[in-house]
Amino acid sequence: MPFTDFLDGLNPSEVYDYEIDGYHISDFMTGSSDIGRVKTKVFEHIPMDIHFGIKHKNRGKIESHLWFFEGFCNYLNPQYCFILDAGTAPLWKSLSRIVFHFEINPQLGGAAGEIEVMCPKNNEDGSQISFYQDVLIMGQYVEYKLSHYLDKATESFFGFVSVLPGAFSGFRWKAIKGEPLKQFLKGQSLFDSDKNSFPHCAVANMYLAEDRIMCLEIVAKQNNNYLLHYLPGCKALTDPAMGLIGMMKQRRRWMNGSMFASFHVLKNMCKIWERKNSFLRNIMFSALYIYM
Amino acid sequence: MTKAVVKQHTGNPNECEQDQGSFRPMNYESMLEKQLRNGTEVMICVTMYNESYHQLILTLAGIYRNYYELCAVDKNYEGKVSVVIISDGYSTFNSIDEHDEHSFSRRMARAGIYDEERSRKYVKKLDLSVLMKPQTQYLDLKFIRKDPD
Repeated sequence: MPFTDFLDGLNPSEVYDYEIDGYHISDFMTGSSDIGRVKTKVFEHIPMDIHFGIKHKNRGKIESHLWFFEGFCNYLNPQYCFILDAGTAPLWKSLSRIVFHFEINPQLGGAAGEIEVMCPKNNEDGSQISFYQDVLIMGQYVEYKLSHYLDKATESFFGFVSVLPGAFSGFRWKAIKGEPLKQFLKGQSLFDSDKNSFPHCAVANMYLAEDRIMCLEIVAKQNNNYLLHYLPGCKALTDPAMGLIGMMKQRRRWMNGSMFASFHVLKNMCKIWERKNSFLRNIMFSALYIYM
Repeated sequence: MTKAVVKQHTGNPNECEQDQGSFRPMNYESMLEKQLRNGTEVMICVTMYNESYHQLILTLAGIYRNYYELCAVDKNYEGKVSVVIISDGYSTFNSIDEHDEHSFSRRMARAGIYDEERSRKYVKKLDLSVLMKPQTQYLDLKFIRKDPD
């Protein structure tokens, strides 16, 4: 269906006010005379296939990904698959550039762009944000920037990014098929199993950061030489946590997961020597592990 | 969009040998058609839980924009990008207030992507009072693994 159909769900006045990254929606979608944008409106009514699935029960995000990977991707067998959160808006030249980067680099297993925090001026109910909310948002903005510009850029130089975020990342379907996907979805099966065999605390925490574990599995996939890249400039905007409690809950989940997953990655570093790879690349990976 | 014509099996094992009239043709716009076309290049999963319609529009606008860019550079991508939107739970998707015209489900119905009437027969009547209760129990102690020793 064409994008204009989705706008039918909005009231006409809402469409008039709709802005993305400071641009009006029609300007964002069909471009302007600036360099690097689609200048004509020929693409305005190009339809795209949309599949809409509603799960009966609320069973978590991993199960949604299970539906996507094991259901849709297994059936349609695409070249590349992307995972995005609703509310994360990919800006121009983000997904498209990642796809072209995949095409140029056949050994690229996964790639991620930069996630930037939106700086809203109003709350959802229309009230203006308070000073402390402003400080929280700015803090998150700086944190996201630092993690991308310093951590991810450094790791990408070595060919291994420790985490491709579940909110905005792309994978080569061939690369994640098999063991990486099994590890990615393992968190769901752990919790679906019998209550008496509930996983150990460390394991349960580790699978909170299932994307980190999958990254290791992609790079360490036997008899393959896949790499992971971070592409600066492929931006997506996401909404920040607006309250302290919400942010603490989010950080508790992320920090717990990332810490236990990092231990897991460090413990299994010997796996990378099973890759079909040059000796120099393995030395680089080892250097990265020592740095980590 | 052209619709693939798919023959529905009537359940009779010998129907292939019988008259072609026993087949009931149906117009079916589904993943079966994609399989026939055999060429999805990019699949994008949008996971959602309790996000608003506006937030979904933001994401879809970005995806469509990037799809246009792909088509602008390489025409072969036309019709080979699919988006899968997965809503985590029917109760969060459906509005508590049935007469709310601005609810997510109503907006999706207006966009033509969701048919409330069709889905109703598959879904049991929900106990919406559960949604109104605040969630106070964060950790169930009986789930904590006991040391076997």
